[in-house]
Amino acid sequence: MNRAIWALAKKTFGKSNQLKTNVTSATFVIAICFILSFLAIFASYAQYFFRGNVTADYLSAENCHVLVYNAPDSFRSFLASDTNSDESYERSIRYATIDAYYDVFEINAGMKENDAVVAIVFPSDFEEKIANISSDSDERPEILTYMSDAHLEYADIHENLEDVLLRDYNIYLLSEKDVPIAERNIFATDNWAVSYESDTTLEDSFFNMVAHMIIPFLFFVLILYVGMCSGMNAIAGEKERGTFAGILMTPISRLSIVLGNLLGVWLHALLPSLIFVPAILIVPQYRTATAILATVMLLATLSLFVASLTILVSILNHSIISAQTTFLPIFLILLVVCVTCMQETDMVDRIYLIMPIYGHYHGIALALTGQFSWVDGLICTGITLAFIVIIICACERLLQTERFTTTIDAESAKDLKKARDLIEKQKTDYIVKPKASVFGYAPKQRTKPSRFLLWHAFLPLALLSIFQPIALIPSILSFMSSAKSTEFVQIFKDLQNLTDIADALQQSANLFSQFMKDPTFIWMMSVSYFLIIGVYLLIVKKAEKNPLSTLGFPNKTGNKHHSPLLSYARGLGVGLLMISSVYGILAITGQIELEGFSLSLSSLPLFLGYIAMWIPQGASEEVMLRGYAMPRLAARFGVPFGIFFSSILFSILHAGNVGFSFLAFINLILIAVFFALLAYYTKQIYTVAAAHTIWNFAQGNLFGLQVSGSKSAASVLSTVYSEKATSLMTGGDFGPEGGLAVTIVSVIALLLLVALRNKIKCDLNSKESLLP
Amino acid sequence: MIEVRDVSKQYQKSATVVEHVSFTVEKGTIFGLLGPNGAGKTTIMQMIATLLAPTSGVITVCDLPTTANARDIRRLLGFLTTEIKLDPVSTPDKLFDFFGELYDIPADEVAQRKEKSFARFGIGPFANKRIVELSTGMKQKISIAISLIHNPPVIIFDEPTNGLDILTSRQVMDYLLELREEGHAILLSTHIFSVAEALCDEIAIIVDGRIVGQGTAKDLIEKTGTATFEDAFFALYTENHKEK
Repeated sequence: MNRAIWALAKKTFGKSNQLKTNVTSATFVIAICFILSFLAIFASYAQYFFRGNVTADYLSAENCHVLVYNAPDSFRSFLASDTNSDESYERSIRYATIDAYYDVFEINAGMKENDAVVAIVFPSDFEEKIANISSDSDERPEILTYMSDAHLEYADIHENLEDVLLRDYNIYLLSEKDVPIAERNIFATDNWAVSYESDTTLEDSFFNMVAHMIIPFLFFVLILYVGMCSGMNAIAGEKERGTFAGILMTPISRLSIVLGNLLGVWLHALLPSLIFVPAILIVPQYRTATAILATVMLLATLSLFVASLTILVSILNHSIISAQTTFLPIFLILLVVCVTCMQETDMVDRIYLIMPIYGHYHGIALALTGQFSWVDGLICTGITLAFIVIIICACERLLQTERFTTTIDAESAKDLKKARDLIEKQKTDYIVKPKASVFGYAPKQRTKPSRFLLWHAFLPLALLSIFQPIALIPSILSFMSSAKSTEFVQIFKDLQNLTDIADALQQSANLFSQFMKDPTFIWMMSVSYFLIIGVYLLIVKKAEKNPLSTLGFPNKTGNKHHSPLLSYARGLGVGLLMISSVYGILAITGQIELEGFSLSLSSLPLFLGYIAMWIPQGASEEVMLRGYAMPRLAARFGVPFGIFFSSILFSILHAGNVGFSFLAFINLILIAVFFALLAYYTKQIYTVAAAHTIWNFAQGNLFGLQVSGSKSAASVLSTVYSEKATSLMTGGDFGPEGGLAVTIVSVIALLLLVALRNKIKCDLNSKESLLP
Repeated sequence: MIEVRDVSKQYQKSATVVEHVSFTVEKGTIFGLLGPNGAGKTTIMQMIATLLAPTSGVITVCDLPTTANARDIRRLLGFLTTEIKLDPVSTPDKLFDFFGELYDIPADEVAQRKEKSFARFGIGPFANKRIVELSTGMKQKISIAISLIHNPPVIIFDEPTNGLDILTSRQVMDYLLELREEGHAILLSTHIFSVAEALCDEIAIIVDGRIVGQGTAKDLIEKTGTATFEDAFFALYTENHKEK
């Protein structure tokens, strides 16, 4: 029996070098990308570590300085006039400026450059804020003091700074400025600890970081990658080559087959990482018996765990490529777990130390830095082994079942063919008679109804949740390095303290409105909507292999009255008419008041950005729902279903917005039904895309109202809710789309549309226009 | 040696592919299953080889029921089927050793048998070539050698001469006769009449999963009142095959 296991292990071990498939390369590329991005992060850290002249005596008492950022004139004159304070301050103070005053890294670097142990950071508009202090407000400018928490010997300097220097400065300000006497404190202080210096040397902290961030990660990538290549080739590969039945025919037990393959994959996954272990020993800090033993133990169990997972996946699949595709998500998840572990380098909860994967990652890191706990390590190993046993049992059970034991034989092949014929027949039946044809769409293949509906329901959601966050990235980056980051950090801080969901939502909306004021964000959003449209064009062109006319973009129309441009222009008219009616109703009923013009020259770039955003925004939503989903749903289930389902989807897509209510839900459905019918009658989506765009644009940037919960920052008119406004009419925070005014307008528009449908319905190729 | 009693096989949710089949294969005889593609021959063989479980009925190999003693039976069986392939990147030599280890045969015995069967089939010169480089005939000979590595008393050959040239097929047929002389019980499936007629001591004709005629080739010719064995087969086939 043992011979058989060993024979299988040898075979599996020897096999894994010879496979090359696309998925392997894909995994390889992913792994390389991870390593590269990781090295980039590491490089930026390393730069931070080795910045400036790092000498052992740079913190010696005579070299210690106080660094003052954004020092206002009053502070300088205070220092000059202050005779009480220790003279050494004046001597040792250095000045600098900074935009973002929470930027710990920048301040850190500055402190290092100036040999400072303490830093005082003023907001850049400190003087302005002081001048605006009023007695009925609690708002005070905040001065931050930073110090290294590792050097307690300088704590008295820091204390002195806060208790004496800044207190005196406060008194000085009180006497100098014209501030009400009741105000005893002109500013608030907040101290932040900076731990750029740990209690060990700089070199140590560097190797600590390497132990936490690089070494375990490399081990993981290595084990996962090699384990996958080897494991997928083991049983799935045997099945693919047809050699597995030969092994099944031998008198060895199924368990031996599992164990033999597992052993082979395990050795294969483990050996490369074991070769790395001696390399670690080059670093003296890591060279301890615990480090070696614990690392080897953790690597062994980790690779065994990965090997058992790959064997399980391998048993479940019939070819290498399908097995690798199945394993790819597991591979990614485990890499993500690594990245999560990287971020929690200190103060890791004990539960993470005993959990498999997490425990392995932290365990290796801690072993190298000499903080490894054998108890936790052994518990982690025990739990992992228990998991492995469960997986092995599952593998054995799976091999016992009939369908894994034999390949498809002639009889079942016949059944398979019968089933396939039946599906083919259904397909042809279906293709012959789609229930309805919108935009000339006819399906070419049939999927299960559940899959079909899920696809249409989640595609818009998935695309929006992929592309919109991409638009956030440049904005966040530019935010974090600008003075606005202070505001941003404040919102985040507030967000963390909130317990009420409604408050949290409101706060998130504030955060979002911060972004809505940023032209970068607006332009990036525009790009992301274009990308979404691009994805749909690709889906229709490449995956469906249908003409773009089935997306509502008709080919050359014979009728010049229906050229895309004219259709678009008509859409602009329809949309503007509708939203103006809403505005009219709100104005007549006294719900809103016009404050006047509010567009300034400075907000012009933002305003143009909005125009650039609303055009693809409206178009992308129309492409998603009226262009793509509606005709496809209609072909399968009929036009009413197509219109209704896509409309509900449209409404649900807006459900996450602030102030969303039941009335808003109904209104959005009504508007969506109107758009859907309009697209259906006009046989294209240019008109509805335009109407959608102008609706949003006019609402937010012409009339200055809320658009589905978001308020725009640049608007031609400024409109406010009047005092007698009720949110039932106006829609409150969600904007008019959540109010009765929109209900009235959309119902009237719908009735008109249905009444005039024969006039609107057009024949795209006839020379005569049916439109007035 | 092999006893199949009233065995039926039905795949889930589909028609029955083997219906109430019974036959016995004695020691030192060759039993042939003859039928068109898709008649159920392979299914019957896989059930005997413990790779499939019968839906009803009992199969015993050397008096051991297949459903209870799968691993013991696999030790007694040599199973050759086109569905079992040889690892394309391995060599005959390595494969022989590998299966020797799986069957837990002592290394010196493996070496002995390897020498003997390589000489018998003329594999020797190709022993260290990769399978992928060998001809179909050579591969089949290696498959036969490996399937009999443990010298099993019961041998099941599924279409052993399929796709082989006349020379190799003749070699295989001769070898089967040799094995019969040695006292092995052999179950053979084929759709080639000449092979069935020349080799088999008893033939069962299978149509749509049922045995529609059983006996020696001569018996079947007599029973159907036809001139040749081929005619006898077609007479039985047209009589029993139902168009679905």
